Amino acid sequence: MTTPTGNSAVVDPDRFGDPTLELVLSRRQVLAFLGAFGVVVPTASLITAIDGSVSKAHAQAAPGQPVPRLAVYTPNWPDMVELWRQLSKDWTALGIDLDVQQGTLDTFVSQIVAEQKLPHLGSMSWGGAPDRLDPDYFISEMFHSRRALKGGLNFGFYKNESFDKLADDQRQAMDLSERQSLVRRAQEVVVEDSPSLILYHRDIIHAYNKKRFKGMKPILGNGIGFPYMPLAYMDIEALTPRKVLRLTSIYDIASLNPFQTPEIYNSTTLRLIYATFVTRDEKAEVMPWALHSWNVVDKTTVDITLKPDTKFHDGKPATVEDVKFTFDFILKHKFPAMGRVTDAVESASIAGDNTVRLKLKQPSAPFVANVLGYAFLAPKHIWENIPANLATPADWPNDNPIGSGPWKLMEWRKGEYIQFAANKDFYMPAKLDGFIAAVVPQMESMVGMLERGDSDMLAWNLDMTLGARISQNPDLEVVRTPTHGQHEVRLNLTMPPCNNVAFRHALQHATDRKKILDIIFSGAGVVSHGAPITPALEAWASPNIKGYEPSIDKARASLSSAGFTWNAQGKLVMPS
Amino acid sequence: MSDASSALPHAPAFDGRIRARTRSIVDFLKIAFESWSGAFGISILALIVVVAAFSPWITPYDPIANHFNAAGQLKRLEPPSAAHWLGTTYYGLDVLSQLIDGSRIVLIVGITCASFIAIIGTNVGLIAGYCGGRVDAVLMRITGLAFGIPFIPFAVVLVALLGPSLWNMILTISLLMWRTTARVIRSQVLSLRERAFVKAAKIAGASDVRIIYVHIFPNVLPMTLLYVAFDIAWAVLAEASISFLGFGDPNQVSWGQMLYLAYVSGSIRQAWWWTIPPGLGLSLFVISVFLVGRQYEKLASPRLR
Amino acid sequence: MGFLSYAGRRAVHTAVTLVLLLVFMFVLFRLIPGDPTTLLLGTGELTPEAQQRLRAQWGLDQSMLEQFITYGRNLLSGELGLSFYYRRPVTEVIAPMLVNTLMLMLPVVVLAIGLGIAIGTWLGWRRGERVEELGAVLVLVPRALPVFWTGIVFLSLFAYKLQWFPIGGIRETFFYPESWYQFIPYYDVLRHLVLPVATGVLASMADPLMIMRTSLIEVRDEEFMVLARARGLSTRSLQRLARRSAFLPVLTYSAIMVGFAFGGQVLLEVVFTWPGMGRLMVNSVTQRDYPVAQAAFFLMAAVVIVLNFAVDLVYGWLDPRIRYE
Repeated sequence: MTTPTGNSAVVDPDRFGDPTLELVLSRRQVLAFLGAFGVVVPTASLITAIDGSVSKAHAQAAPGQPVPRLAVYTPNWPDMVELWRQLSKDWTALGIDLDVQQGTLDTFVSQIVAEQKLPHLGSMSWGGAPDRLDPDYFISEMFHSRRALKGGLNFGFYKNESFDKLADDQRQAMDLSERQSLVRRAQEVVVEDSPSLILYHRDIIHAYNKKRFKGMKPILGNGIGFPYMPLAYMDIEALTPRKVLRLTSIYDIASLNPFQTPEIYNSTTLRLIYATFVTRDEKAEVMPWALHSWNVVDKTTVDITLKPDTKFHDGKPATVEDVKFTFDFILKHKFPAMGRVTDAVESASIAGDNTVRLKLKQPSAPFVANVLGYAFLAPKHIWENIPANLATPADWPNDNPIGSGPWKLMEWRKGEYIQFAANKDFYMPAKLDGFIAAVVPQMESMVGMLERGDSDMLAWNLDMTLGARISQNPDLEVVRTPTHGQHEVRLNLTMPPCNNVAFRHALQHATDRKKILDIIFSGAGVVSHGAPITPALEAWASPNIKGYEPSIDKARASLSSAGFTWNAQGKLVMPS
Repeated sequence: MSDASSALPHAPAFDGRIRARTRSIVDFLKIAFESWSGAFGISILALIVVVAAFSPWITPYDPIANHFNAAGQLKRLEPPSAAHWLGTTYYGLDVLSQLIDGSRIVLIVGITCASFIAIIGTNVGLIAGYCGGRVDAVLMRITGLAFGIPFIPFAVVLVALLGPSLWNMILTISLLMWRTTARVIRSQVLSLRERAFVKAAKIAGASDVRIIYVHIFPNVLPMTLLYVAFDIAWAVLAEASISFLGFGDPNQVSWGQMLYLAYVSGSIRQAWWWTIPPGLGLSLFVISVFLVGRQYEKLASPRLR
Repeated sequence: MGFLSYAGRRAVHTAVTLVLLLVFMFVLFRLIPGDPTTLLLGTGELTPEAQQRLRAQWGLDQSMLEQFITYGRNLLSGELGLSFYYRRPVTEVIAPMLVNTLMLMLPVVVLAIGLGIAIGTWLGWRRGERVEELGAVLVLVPRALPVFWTGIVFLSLFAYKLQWFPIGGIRETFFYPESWYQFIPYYDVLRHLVLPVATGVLASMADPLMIMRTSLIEVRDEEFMVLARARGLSTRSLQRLARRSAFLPVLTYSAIMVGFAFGGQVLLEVVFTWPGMGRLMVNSVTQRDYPVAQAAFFLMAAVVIVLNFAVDLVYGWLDPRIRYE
């Protein structure tokens, strides 16, 4: 038998009778030994306890008592960890102590969103997905009281009836200027009530090889490389004979079936193959894509007209039948991934040579942007004939996806890459011959590949510092694009002292957003005034929102005015 | 000494040399110095222990404090300088302070895990080896299970389940790594239980528990202690691996975590001042444990002399 | 007791372990908060109502016992189920990853054992000489380095600085052979294999090496070797004789080694961007893709357990004393 370093150890005493094996310890010696062991372990645990290893104190704050340690739950990303280190340091000036616990993102989402178990505070970041360009997302999904249920994003339990009314009204306001005014007022209410500390909108930073390609199109929330906006890749041109762009991405898709998954990266990648009815242009305005045009007939009726001469990738022409089929198919099977279509559309009927009339269940201002921008043209002749033994068509592998979009699938090597070829029959064909999205889960390798020339575009969020290093390379260009995504700190409005609006205002004043943005993201982003919608979206931003000036004095003043006091140790005490 | 067993005949007490050697701690430590490799190992270990014990006083700065230059800008990824001997990290933290602070985790994780592993593994090995039959079969099935389960994926599962705190990591490591110790102790016990002194104790009416812990255990103790030593090294490497993948405790500074942050910020090749010290520290610690352990192996197995 | 009854008993024990494993994994994964639908909630793309429908559709609202019964029944008819994340059969999801892993780990194991035996023999034969003492220490050094550390060092040196090898992945998405040697079949894949295999071998080599060395030292002093030396056999034949006898403990260890190889490969896969079982296991846990996670974990563990069983059989055959345990 061998020891850990490979030396031979005594196992068989018959081979050499070693007298030491006859050692018989006294009871005292055994106890002494065990005692020594018993000392080591508690000491070690004591040392770790002194470190302040997490304790789950969710003590309720009683009137007149010092505020207990506020429990924070956050994803375990390095930038979130650093965020809470900053906030912990900054908020001690208010006499507040924090108890920060982390969880992996999946566990975080299950506890906070699925189970609605937010402690006092939590933090989250939201990416620049296309449907979030419409204000409904950051207004209704996050803060409407209807969404304070299991699975909903109002996990801070914010409930304000006047806000709810504004949110409901803006959703049904078909007149643009009326809607804008409602959205602005809703934001002002949110900023005043401060259910969340919206921190900043971090810029998207991508990089590409400018010696080989040009024509990159930066789009809000998409940068130059994300697949969220199909328009981003359309003008890219090759400067060398190789007309295929190689980009790197952190994720891989899970499925080629567009009815199956709502996950953003997967669904937007598939919508390169399956053209959505409308999309957004570089100014974030809605533009027709598979459609020729649409017409809002009345509050619950929309006519959509298909582009003539549309062809699917297998050469078959797309007709109005396919449009009607798409909606009927979705309504019949009620795919969970297409929930927003099922929730909005009542029925679809043919109303002309190329026109389908959609009846909506209720008036909906975001309908065109979010539903027509998500639903896509599906070929009837394919989806009618899928195997019948599946539980749902969403389970069909769809290994040969046939759509009408600007890109055709060439090859998908699971976990490695996915390769597309340009669809030259598309009304606005791409200038490239194709592109390849390689799956590279490590930022380190992505950067290395770009620098070495193994890839042409880094399509994931870089840090500014990394970006600065990359831009020193004469072949590479770093592109910085603003986003409508955001980072926020959410408060649980059912747990004192977070239920006290003056307390929340104090936290707003005590949070130096610029300093934190500088430390964590090298300042690459837009500091928020607290409004959920980024100032970059000028159509919806409210000019009346001034934000909360970072000032500890103002924070303390806000607390004092609400009856908070400080004890001899400087700890914050609840009002009595 | 009032056991019944002391009345039984046993071979001439101890090998005089070993007894004399272990009479004092100094002599015990001297064993390590017998070869240059052992001397090197124990010096490094002593250094790490001292650094860890005095770390709150030695660190030049608070390990999690951000540093700014005169113009108010963050000192991000700065190479070594007079103010920061090992430079700064991506968020402007002092690397040397982090290195010193991280040495505590090395010892805490190492010793705590090794203790748990020793306790679980030795007991499983003792009971399985002595009792035999069904008890042995059941315990060996469980050990077999522990051998099969892939370590890092299982650690990921436990972190998802329990959260990435230090104690959960210690638990994770201990829950799987006792398997080798158990096997080794068991095979030792298997041969020991046939020996005369054990049989004699049985005849004298000693209970099973007594035989296991008073008679057999002391004789497997050297092997247990040896494995404790190496388990410290494995536990430290395991913690570094889990932290490197991003599943470590974000509230504690550890060398594995330093490497994780360097890697994930894309600076691991450029910021050599940030990545070489923790990697070197880990490697030196583990090598030292090996080298010192090799010296003490001779106590457990005189055949090696 | 014959060998057959020993083998039979061992087989039953192995089967029991495997079943235990199955149950353990099944329960463990479902204890983690969340299910395959919850991660989708975090992006807000799935409304709470749609999520509930999805859960019902996927049978996740049943009790754990009911789910286990369904799972067990499917398993017995050979069906591993559908992956929740991919909505494809589990076998389809695992197969390519398994191939990738074997592509990486088989060379590692084979080379580690081969090199270990070769160098271990060389060292063991020179027992007592200075070079042996030095060698024994040197061998421990790569064993002590963290695997991911060596990987990163290799990458920095050979891939980034010297540019001899690619920095990750299995193959180039765009590989156009130019020079004559690049036309060798699988040249591209082999090129991608060099660094990860080297890293893995370096970490795994020390154990078989030391075991071989120790085993050889012991065998050298055996009576039959003394006799052979006295009979005047050449050194080469002596070595061959010794090696054959010393080989067995290494064989035993290789069963364990395969297990450790599979356990630690996640680090290699991360550093070298290698899409294999390690990454699949970790991702399937994150995605709460129970069927895939169970199958993947079970597969990896079963390989080790079955290998141990095989080694037990070999030992039982060779050494009749063991059969009485």
